[in-house]
Amino acid sequence: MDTASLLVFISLGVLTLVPALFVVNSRSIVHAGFWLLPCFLGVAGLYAALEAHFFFVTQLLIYAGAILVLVLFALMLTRNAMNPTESQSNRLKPVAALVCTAFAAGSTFILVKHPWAITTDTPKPAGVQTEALGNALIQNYAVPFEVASLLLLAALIGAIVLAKSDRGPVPEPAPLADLTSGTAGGE
Amino acid sequence: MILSNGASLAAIAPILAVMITGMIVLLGDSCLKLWRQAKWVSPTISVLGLVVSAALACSLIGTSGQQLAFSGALTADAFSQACNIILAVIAALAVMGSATYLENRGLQHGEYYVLVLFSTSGAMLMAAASELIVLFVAVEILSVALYVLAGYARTERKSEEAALKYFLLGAFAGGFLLYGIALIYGGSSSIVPGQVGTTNLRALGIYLHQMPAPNQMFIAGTALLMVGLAFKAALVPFHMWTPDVYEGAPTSVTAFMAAAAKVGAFAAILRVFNAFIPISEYWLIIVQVLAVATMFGGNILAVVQDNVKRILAYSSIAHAGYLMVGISALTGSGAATDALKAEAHSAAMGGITFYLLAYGIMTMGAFGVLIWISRRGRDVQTLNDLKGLVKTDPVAAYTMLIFMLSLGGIPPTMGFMGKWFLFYATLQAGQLWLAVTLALASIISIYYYLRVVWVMCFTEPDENAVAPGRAVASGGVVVSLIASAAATLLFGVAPGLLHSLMDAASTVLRP
Amino acid sequence: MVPTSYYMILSGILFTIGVLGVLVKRNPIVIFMCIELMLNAANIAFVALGRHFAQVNGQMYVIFALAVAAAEVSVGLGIIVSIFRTRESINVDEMNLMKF
Repeated sequence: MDTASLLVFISLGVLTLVPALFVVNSRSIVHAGFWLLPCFLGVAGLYAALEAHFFFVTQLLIYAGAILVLVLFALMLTRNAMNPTESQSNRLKPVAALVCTAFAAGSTFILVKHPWAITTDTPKPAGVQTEALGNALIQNYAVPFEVASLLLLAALIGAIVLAKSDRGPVPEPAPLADLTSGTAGGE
Repeated sequence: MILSNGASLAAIAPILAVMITGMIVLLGDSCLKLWRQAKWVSPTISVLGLVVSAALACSLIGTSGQQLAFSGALTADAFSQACNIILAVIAALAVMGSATYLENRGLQHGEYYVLVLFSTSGAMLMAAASELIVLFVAVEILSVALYVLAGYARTERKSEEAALKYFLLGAFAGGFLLYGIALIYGGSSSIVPGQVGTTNLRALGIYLHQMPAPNQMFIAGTALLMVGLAFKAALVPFHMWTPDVYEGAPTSVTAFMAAAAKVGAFAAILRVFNAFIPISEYWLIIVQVLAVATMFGGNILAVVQDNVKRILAYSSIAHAGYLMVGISALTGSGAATDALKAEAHSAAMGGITFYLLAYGIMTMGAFGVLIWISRRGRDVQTLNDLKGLVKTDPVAAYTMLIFMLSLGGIPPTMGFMGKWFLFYATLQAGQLWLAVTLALASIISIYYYLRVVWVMCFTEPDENAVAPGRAVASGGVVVSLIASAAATLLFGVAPGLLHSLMDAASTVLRP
Repeated sequence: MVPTSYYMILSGILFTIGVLGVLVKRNPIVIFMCIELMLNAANIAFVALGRHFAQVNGQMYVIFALAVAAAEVSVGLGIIVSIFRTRESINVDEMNLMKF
């Protein structure tokens, strides 16, 4: 293990975990949404460090791109849903934090103690890896691949059902003045 | 036996039939104006597709032994065909009941049936999954369609709230499931030759049998997987979402959700723990604790409810507890010899299969009665609405009586036979205390089922509860009620008629 | 290269942060973000393990996890936005129409 790769790992780890903590701890829901971006970028960086080039790109496109944008859209649509100065957490917080710390400590203990076999295999170049992935997708993993397409179809229909406005009246949209007074408060 | 790709397609024909019917309904409803205008076309086509699926499964069940389809991703064995039959029956009953209910509430749309069919195919895939990642995707198909269905009555606050609660808890459970699979993948390397990971249940079962020494990562993964599946099957203490979601969702959706989601989840739990029997000393006690907590938690909380949908929700939790007793009996932990263990295993397999069918039919029946009473436009929800039903609507009251007796496990009904098979399997497995607990829990449950009966038969009808509006066409729900009531009584008197189903399911051998 | 156990520990911590968020947050969108953190943690674990075993399986699982995440986000946010249309508040704690 050379120092350079360890440093890269540590900085990527900090880039992932610290924003994740801010997502959980932020008072403003919009800030929480924006903290998600560095977290997803950090995960993408970890994929690059693991030399999973395909997933580096996919993570950027799907998580940092599509999913984050959808989440932010939803935040904007429900923006003045709540008073941003009130606490975002419920009363469970201390107990939950304690339980989760214990959980993290336990899992770290298990993972450290785990008898990891030493791998000598160096990852293949990006093109070869992606080719293997594509082959597996239409051979051994053809069933989950097809099933996932059914899942996406079901989700598509579901989203249309939820968004259709022919059932019941749609309430008037809030006037613009309300939106501007929405989430002004911060941390 | 690993099937070729062509034979694999033939072996999963029942699942394909459901998926294809879903797509036909989707296309027909969106492209053909006549189809859309005639409200009865979508439900009829759906029921036909489900009948074809059940018939295909019936014809395949005898010939499929331990088949692996698609290079091991799916198991098209007799148990999976039995689950296909059960799920097709449940979905057909649900579709027939829904047609009436939706018409009544002005919610009749083709997409509803598409989502029901897709989630049915998801549950069927859960029962067939052999690769854990297929299981995960199948769980999500079932759930995603159900989240939308739970919020189908979009203008009602309760329904929306049910959808949101179900979605958040379901997605949370999905996270546990996925991380559990990751840890199992990592932890399996110490038992798999060549120090690589696998998530194939069949392979894991074989390797665990050869070397029943899992490492801690593997056990942690199994625990997380269990948490995820326990959320989906609504086991105490992972049941908090159930009553709210069951109460808030439209009644026809609640019926389908209660039956199909539970059958799918239990088929998956059975597959996982069947593969992990060699390491049962690690999980047996947890399964037993969950079983006891679920039986008593569900039954005791049901006693204090006043809403019939909530009573049925807690009763469905309790039934999940009885099924967990069956999972515990699979191990045959208390049996003396290997031959007795194998006998207990096949008794438990048969018992669980029978119970899944019985639970599905009587749950669909009980909710079907609620739908039928609501045919005059009043959504029946509370015990108050059922007061004096025997005077206002005697047929409905007596039908409900059959299902309540069956759910309570009173002979001569299917529910009694199901409990008897589970009880017998538990005795075979040498887990006497668990069998006694099962009997005690059922005795508690009789109280609240009989309370529903008492309210129907021995109270005067509420004056303002009777709202004799014009009854909508209720042909669908009548057919579904007759079918489920007849099945409940017939298989309660002559459970032998289902012997071929149970025998086929019990061929799924210990790994 | 960095040992696989480091990546696994990192993913375990990220998973725990996600679980913590789901347990303590009140806004459904933020709860949903925390669930995404949990899924990302599982994905890191899959990629790291796949590399450790020099198998394509690990990366394969990530593809399906991504598909599931995409399906969930569309349906979930659809539900949340449609709720907001009929009511002003979307706090999970305030949803007590249906009591225990």
